[in-house]
Amino acid sequence: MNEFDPNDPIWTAFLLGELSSEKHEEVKAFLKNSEDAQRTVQELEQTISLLNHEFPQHKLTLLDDQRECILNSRASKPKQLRGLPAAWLSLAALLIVFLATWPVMPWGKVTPLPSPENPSVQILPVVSSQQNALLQTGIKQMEAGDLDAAEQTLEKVLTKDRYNIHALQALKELMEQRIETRILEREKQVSKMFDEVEKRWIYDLDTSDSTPDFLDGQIATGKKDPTDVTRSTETLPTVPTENPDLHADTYVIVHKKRIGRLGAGGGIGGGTFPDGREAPRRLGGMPKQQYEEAQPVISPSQDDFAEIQRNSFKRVSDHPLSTFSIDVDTAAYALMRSRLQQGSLPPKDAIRIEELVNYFDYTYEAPSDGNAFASHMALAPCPWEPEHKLLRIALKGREIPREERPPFNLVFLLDVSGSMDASNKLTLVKSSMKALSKQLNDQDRVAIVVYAGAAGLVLPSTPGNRTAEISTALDRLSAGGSTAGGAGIHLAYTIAQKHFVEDGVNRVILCTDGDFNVGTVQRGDLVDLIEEKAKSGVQLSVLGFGMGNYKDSTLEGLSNKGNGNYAYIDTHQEAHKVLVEDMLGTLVTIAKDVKIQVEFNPAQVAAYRLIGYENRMLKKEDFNNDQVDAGEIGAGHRVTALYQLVPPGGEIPGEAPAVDPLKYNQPPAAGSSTEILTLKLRHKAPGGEISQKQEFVLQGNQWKGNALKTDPEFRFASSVAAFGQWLRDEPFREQMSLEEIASLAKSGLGEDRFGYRNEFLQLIQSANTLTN
Amino acid sequence: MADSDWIFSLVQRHEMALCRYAFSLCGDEAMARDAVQECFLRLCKTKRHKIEGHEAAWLYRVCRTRVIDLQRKEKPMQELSPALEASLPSTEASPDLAAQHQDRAAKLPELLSRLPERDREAVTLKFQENLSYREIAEVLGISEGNVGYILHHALRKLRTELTSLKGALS
Repeated sequence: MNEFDPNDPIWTAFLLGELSSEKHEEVKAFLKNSEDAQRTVQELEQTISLLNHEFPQHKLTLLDDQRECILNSRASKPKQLRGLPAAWLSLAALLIVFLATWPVMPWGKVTPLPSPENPSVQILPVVSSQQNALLQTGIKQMEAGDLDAAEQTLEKVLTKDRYNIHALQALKELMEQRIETRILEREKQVSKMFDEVEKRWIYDLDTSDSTPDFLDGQIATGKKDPTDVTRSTETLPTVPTENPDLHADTYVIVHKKRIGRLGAGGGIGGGTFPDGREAPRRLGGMPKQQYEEAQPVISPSQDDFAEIQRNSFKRVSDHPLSTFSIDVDTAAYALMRSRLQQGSLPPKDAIRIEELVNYFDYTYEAPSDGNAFASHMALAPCPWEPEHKLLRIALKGREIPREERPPFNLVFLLDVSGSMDASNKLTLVKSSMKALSKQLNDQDRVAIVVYAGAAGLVLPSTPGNRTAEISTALDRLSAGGSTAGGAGIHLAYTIAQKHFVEDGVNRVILCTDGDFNVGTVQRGDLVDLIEEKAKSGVQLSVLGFGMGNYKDSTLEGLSNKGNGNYAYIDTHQEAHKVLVEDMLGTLVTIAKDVKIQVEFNPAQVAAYRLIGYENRMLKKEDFNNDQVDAGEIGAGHRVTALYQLVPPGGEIPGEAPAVDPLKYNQPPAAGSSTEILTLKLRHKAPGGEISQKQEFVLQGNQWKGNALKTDPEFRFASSVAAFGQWLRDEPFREQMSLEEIASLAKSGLGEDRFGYRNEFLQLIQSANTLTN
Repeated sequence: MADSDWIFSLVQRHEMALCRYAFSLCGDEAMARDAVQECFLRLCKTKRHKIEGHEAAWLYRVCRTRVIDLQRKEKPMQELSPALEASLPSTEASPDLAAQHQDRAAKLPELLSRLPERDREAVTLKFQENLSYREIAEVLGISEGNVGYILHHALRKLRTELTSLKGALS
């Protein structure tokens, strides 16, 4: 080496000890003589020293799981053969060993093949630290509330590792959170919208002059008071329409009858009244153009609309049979009372007259001969139509003394969604259930399931006498979350099934404010479930709390399918009535699928009109058909039905022309009997599937009688029926005034132990005030 | 010693170093771990006699290729422009060191990160992992002479940068 070249790598190699000893000595010698070289080498030395001491040392180790994976892998590493290069020998040896040890040695096991997704296939899954890190990030993002980012991250994990259980679980949770939030939002919006519309439309329409004129097109032409127009030109609140329930011709909510269907033409209403008059086209108090511009408003479900077609008079010659299912639900009365007390007339379609009449506890005689029913028929001149007669049919169910009641297996299914928080609904539910649970004993069982967000078991099936436990569980309830009814109902039924009591009452009692949202589950599936469970012996009753009437047809329907009953609870007193005073009637069914068929004698009756029971009408064939579902009756319950009868020769109001007499089928010779009618009754035992029939005849000599004179219960019942008609049908108001109805009611007050009848009088008074 | 013990001892001896090395290549702890895991797993599948004698170099080489593979999977291939080269994995993993502004040694990570990739790798293998020229050559797949050349020039460059820094500070 002659010249010094600082760029020669040999200097570094020298310092790092990479040179052969010979070369090393050579360089050493050179250094002695070259100051430049020495300098360079010194500089290099410094740098090297620095690097040796200060090189960033990042401390990092494998994850324990990863190390474990490696060490396990080596443990199952197949034995390797060493030595014996001769191919033949190895092969032979291998073959022998193979065959000899096949079942035992590792190579007898199947080794998985490498795949694109998993290049280094091991017997244990590779633990990826990267996946792990991603997963942790995803979870942190989810906890922080950044659902979108979390979803992306978790999907990344799953792209590489399709079955990563942690990622899958986290993703599932994330989806659930998302759905919950959305359902909650939707609920809020729908609820808000209901409130707004309710505020603006119901009370406006109710308290202002709600004669049909108001609903004519007159508003649009501005003939009315301009302030009316101002009020009504506000557009309806709108709701985002991604709802699959929404159809082209959607309903405007709440006052569907009043405002009508928002059809393609933009106009609404139309149709005919039962007596043939054409209903005016109604614009709901809003100029037509404005209405057309208003976007379709969401309708929670088309099923909620339950228009009542008034029963009209039927000619006995054409319709000798009147068939209907009994109804002992009382919700309509409570709803009506609630509205009147709040200062407005109840919506007409909410008034089911049979439920008003049946709200009261009439003292009919119980059956004495072991039958399920006793019947009590009475005739009198019709209070609102002296030319006609009023027929009362009453059925009284068998009583059960409290001490002899069957054991209960109850599951309360409570709606604790956010909407239940309003107006003390949840408080009312709690106190209602506490009241009931105090009636229970150690033979009974009660459980509480809630649904809101996720379904949850608040109280497992507990013997009825553990009042403290039940009370505590109830106190813990609080409202919040969205409604997810489907899961809750499944849970409730499961528990009821699990603690099924033979020969007892097994029932799920749904307590809700009406928004029984089952999410994506079809309403049909829910109904099927309820029906099926009812057949297997677990019934469903529904208690409605503090909601408007617009959900109650749904709830009534559900309770019908569930072979239970439906009551509306708006006050503690009502809760007491339904769940304590009337507990047996509410819970213990003594007869199922109870149907009534009346055959009128055309010689004695020209026409009849059944008051109420509009949504309970059955076809005449349904009477003998045990497959057809009908109402249930509880212990000690009574059912009252009223008919307005037209005597022979009398004029039949509003009836369509008579049907042509038949040519090939001669009607049986009428007139030979003096019986007025035959009442037939079919019912099944609570657990049975075959119905029994009972028959009662009303003799002709009753025709001239006036049971109203002698029967205060009849007087009171007819006053309630009259009031119902008064509220519902405006033409009726000309036939009977509120004063007349009130005086009829007063004459039937009787003992009125709990004050319900006097309360009724007050309601008449309220209606009076509201319409004057 | 038995095969399983052999593997076990290699894991013990080289686990931390390999992790550290892998980290220096990619700057991602999780990725580094996965690369090292895969490296050892591959070791389990390899015939011992093929590696005996130069286990370290083998491990580092396999680890290096693993890291490169993982990096490729993360991002599609990019042209390694000089600018990109310089911006490749920073030493942000040692924030504690970076905090010491005044310390010349603390500037080292940054300087190292500014080296071209090949240079940095060689320097890392030499001064962090203490591999010989021959081993480094094996890891990087180049000749020994090449290794010497790279290291020498890397050192000189570092020296220049350090002195200029020193001049600025003093």
